[in-house]
Amino acid sequence: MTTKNVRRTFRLAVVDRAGLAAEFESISREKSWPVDVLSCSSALEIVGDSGPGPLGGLVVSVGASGPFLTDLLRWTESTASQRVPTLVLGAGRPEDEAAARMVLGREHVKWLDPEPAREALSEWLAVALEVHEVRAFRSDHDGIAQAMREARMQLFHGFIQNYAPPEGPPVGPPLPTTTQEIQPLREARSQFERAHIQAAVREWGSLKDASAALGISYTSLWRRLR
Amino acid sequence: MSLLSADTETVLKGHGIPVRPHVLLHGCPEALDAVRALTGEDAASTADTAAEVVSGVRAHRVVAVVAGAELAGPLIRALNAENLTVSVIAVRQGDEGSSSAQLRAQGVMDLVTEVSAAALEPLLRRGLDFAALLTLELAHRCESRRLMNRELELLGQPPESMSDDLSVFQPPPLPVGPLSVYNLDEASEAFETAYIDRVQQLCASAREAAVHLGVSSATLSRRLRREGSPSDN
Repeated sequence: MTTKNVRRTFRLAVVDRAGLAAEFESISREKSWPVDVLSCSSALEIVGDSGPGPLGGLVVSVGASGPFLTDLLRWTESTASQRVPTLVLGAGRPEDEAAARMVLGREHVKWLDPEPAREALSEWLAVALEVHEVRAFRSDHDGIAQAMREARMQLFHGFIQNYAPPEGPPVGPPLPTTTQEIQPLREARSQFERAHIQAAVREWGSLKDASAALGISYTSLWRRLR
Repeated sequence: MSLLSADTETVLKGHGIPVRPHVLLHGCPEALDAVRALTGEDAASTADTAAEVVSGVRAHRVVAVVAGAELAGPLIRALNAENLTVSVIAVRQGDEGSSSAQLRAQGVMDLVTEVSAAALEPLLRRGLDFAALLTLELAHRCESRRLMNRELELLGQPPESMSDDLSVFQPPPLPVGPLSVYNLDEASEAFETAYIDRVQQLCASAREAAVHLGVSSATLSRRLRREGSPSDN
């Protein structure tokens, strides 16, 4: 049985001199999201030599970043494959125009006008959290696939006689690449549903909560898992 | 008796992957009885040509091939030409023919010189575990690929959708965070849509796709009409 997903802590840096960090802390408490909010008053705390290390997300207010917004945005894309989801908040001043131009073309950066609604902040945080989770699970899947590859090569060459593969996170069925690989739709769907249910149980931790999220009854969930 | 190791079988079952090991024999009819004694009647079949082996390897997820030593080299070349990775066990009775080292250099997993269940069993176990690990590896790599597509979508950069590469067209990944779709019906519909799309790409007609999918043509047509698929016109 899949065990509950232990969420990797999400580190969010907020470059702001007002109450934005507190707002994000309040949102994550309300939603029970494990967010570690790092409050910074200057851009140099991020891009400087003693920077914060890996971040899950970055929030910058144009007022607090001053002339360093470009440096901050470049910092968020220093690793092409792991761009840091970023939220830039306007200051309601003329420099907003130049700041908004910097955001253009950077898909991982979202712009919000000054004094955004709490829902807008919450929505952005949910996206950043999801990206963080997606990356963590990708890393798990890649690690397991690599371990399987090494083990099967050792089996092939007879260096080992057997191997106990790790269970790993649930996986959906691969799609066929030739007609011979096509499974009947019923079988493929059943395999997918099983994996999907396991993923929901992993996320919610209990069968009761998982069944509510899945939109099926507890007994139906139990029957399908059996 | 299952030739797969218990640990591997448990993990395959945990992921809902059908566990039906199969052994294909090519050019070594003398090994059929010994193999069937290990696998059971239905889990071993003979293939007369390399093309039949290729087809058989594609049709079974957990498969190993036992081939006559003189046919092993050409067979492996045929499998490589189709990008198929499978363990081939060569059977050579007598001392004539290619050496064990030569056969390994061609890509043979191992060589048996005595056709008996006792000699074949450890090699078939290794070969089938190899195939099972390959199946699991593929499943994890596909899931990783789906997650990558999801990441690109979340960051506002839609994944490439104009490519002919089949691996690009993937259903949504399993849910992982607060925004994911957990509702089983919605997620299953999305998976089915992607699955049917893929099968349609592979088949020459909707009728053929329906046969492969195990549904009636009428059901498939109704489904395609509901989704407004262009191939329905």
